[in-house]
Amino acid sequence: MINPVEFKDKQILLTGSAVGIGRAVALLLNQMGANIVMIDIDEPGLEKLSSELKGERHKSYCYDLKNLEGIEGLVSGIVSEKGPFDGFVHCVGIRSRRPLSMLKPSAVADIMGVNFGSFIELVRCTSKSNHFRPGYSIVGVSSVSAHAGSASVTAYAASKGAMESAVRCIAKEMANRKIRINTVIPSQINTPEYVKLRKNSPSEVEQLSERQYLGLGEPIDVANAIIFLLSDMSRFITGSSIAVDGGFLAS
Amino acid sequence: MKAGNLKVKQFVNHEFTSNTFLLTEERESWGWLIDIGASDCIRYLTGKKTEIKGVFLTHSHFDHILELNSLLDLFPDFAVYVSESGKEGLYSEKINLSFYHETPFIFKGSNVIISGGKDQIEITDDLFLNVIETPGHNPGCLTYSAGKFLFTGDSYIPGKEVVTKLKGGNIQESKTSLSIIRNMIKPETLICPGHGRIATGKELSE
Amino acid sequence: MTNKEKLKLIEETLELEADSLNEETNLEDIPKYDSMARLTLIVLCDDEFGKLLSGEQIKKFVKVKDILDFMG
Repeated sequence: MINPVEFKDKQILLTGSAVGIGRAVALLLNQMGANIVMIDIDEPGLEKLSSELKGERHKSYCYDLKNLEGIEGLVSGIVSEKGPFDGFVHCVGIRSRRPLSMLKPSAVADIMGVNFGSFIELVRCTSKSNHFRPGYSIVGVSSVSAHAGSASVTAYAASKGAMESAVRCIAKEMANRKIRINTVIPSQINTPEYVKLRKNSPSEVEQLSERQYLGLGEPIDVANAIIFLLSDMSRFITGSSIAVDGGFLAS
Repeated sequence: MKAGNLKVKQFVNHEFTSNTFLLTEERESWGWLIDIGASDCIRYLTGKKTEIKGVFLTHSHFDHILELNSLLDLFPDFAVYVSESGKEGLYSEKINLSFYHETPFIFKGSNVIISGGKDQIEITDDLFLNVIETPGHNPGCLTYSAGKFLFTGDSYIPGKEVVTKLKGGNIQESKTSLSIIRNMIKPETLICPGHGRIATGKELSE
Repeated sequence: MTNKEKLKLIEETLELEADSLNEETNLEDIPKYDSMARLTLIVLCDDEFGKLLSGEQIKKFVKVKDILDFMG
């Protein structure tokens, strides 16, 4: 029987893997036999994750993705060392809550830079010839914030909206290279960030929870959808955004 | 591990694999620490008569300082020796990286002594700890030597490439630091890195 | 930064009248001191002083002095 979700010896690039959804993706891919290349600023977190991964071919690169200019060199270096990619998942993101009155240009630039700018740059660099293998699939982690407004998350929501728009364009542009690109749209997921939000703004969290018919999501729920989009099972899906939101956007 | 009268015990933070080293003598009446990321070390010291006089930090990434506040509960008067830029990490969740791990941590104490290259701190009557500046991994990295022991933090981990791409990292400085460290290693040197096992100078040269 | 300068910064950030705050002012007495104002102060502490104030911590503050002390 052919397994349509086959990752043995596939090389997947993963940003933001030290915590939350990224971590769940790393652990799931590991179970499926993939080699994982991780980029994150959280050096101790990468060390922790690396010690949990089975297999010898994973590698982590500590790098601050705010430095957009250095990404090209970083990716070339990784490809020289580890070879081309079969997949790329972008889980990194600054999730700061910032009222509009405090949303100065430098803060906007930082959030847009890490969340969106580094995503575009990584897509650009990994889609160069010889940097990817046939069947290359890219997944960006968006958010329901890009569709349903919430106070104090303007820049974050905008960065995710930008990601979804860009993915629709890139899908068209990259179709002839047979590169697919999609996003997943999670709602409230059980991560340390969510626990903090629940402590600090319980009423807001309760309001949001009412829209999520299926309750609170777990990182593995989003990871499962990401794996589907990376695999051949989704070979006819590109330029789309899949809601993994317990019914949030439908409600 | 022993060298002369100095005894060194290694403790490991199993989550982040970071090392903590306890420098003491046979009866363990006093002790100094190199980094303090391992809760096993706190457990070891709890209820014992060992008086911890100070902690020497190789750098202040959170996996190396995580138990500072627990240590403060046990020994309210201990001093933290750290570089000037390392001190910033004690009080900033972003600089010590704990913010990005979504587990923010800062030091609650204030007895901090700035250490720099060529400092010598008396550990016992006949032994000094030497401080060597070894930037590269980040600007404030320090290496410490005491007798045959060389505590290199993340500036040198045998078999691993030094991480230099985080803020403040510098590949040139790292190369210079590695050179300084290698020149200090003799066959009988015991290299105690920030992660991983203790290695001898002899085995590294083979 | 002196306490006077910090007070001025808080007044400007929360769009309050100049010199309307002193160290002993009760936070609850500040006009529109709601969750948005608290979030604004949290962001201010991070941006200007590099200190991360949590929602839990700020809810325990009683007077303006508590914020000035946190800023360091």
